[in-house]
Amino acid sequence: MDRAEFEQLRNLPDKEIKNDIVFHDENPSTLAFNDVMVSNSLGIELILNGVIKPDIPAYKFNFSVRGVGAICRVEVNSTIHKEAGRTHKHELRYESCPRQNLPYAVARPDLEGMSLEEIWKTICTQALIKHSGKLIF
Amino acid sequence: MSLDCEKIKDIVQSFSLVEACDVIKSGAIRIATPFHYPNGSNIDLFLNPTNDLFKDFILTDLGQTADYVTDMQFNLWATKKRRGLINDICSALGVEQKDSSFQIQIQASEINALPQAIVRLAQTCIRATDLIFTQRLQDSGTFQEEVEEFLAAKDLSYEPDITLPGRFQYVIKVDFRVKGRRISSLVQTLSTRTNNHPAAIEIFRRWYDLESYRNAYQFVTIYDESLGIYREDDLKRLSEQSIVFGFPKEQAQINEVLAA
Repeated sequence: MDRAEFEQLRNLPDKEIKNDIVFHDENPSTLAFNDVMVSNSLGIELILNGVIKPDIPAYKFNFSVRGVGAICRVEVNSTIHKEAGRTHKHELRYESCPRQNLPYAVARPDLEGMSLEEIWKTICTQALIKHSGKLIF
Repeated sequence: MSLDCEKIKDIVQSFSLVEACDVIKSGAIRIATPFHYPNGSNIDLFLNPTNDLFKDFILTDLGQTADYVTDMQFNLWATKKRRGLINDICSALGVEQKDSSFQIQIQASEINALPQAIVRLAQTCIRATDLIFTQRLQDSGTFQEEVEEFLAAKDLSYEPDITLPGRFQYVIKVDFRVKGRRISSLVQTLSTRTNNHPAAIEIFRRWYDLESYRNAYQFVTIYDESLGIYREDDLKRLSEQSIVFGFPKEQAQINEVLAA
């Protein structure tokens, strides 16, 4: 996937998650959900997984395309990524980015201090995703 | 400028293993180390006091290394081979595995050994994430491992790399034997980057030689559909001997058939 294809997918207004997003206990330090399908009119297999580290707390939402890899990821109070700090958004800039697990990121200080629900609502608004369900812990 | 060992020591002395440090919600100390995951993110390590009488510590990655590879649809512990590699890495560096985390226990009396522990644990995190790259370099083994990861993720009961005596007294290798609720399956995987026709013919040959097992097992061929074009006649030929699925596109169907 190149940058043009990524932007086309990002700007698609009909992306939707029809079901609840249910976090489960992945291990004692992690709540997670996996393989949530994001339907879209391009028929691209866009998948979302997410992680909460309650002890920190840190949040992560990772979008990937099956057969391509990760294409976009929002991390709040997570690992420091270069100049972008602990709260940032990774995105695909070049075709090699999924293979390298998205080496480029921009700082997102607007997300600091937000609750998980607020972060998710912001992501959905900016990524043009309609979530018909709820976040469930 | 000329350098000697003493000057080198002076220069390096100021290098710190702690680029940033804060206290997280649980009370543990979060240390941003100068080490990086492959995408450039700093490796964080967390220093937790234990709740025992001796007030020892646990230095842990809090599962962030496992989270990192999960973003690439990779599971460090999904296959026997990967578990073996992880065990080797941890054993060499004196690191424990617990609940998808890597950790080192540090006695209170040995807290001055914290720098060495930080280096060992960060090195473990790096080596573990590098498994993604080493696995990619292996050709057909990678696809078989992908399928094995899928079988493990679906909680299917399976044995890898089994051998069965075939029709003409030769031993036939089968990639997986999977036990479903009512039916057991023999599974062959097909994935080659160049010229997959000989590989397809070889799998056809194996199914033919295993004909006497047809009453006891269903035969399933899983091919790597991400590689592109297979010859139509190869897939049709295999369909006469087995149930053929493309992976990962037909994951749901594969699970339904193998779990039956």
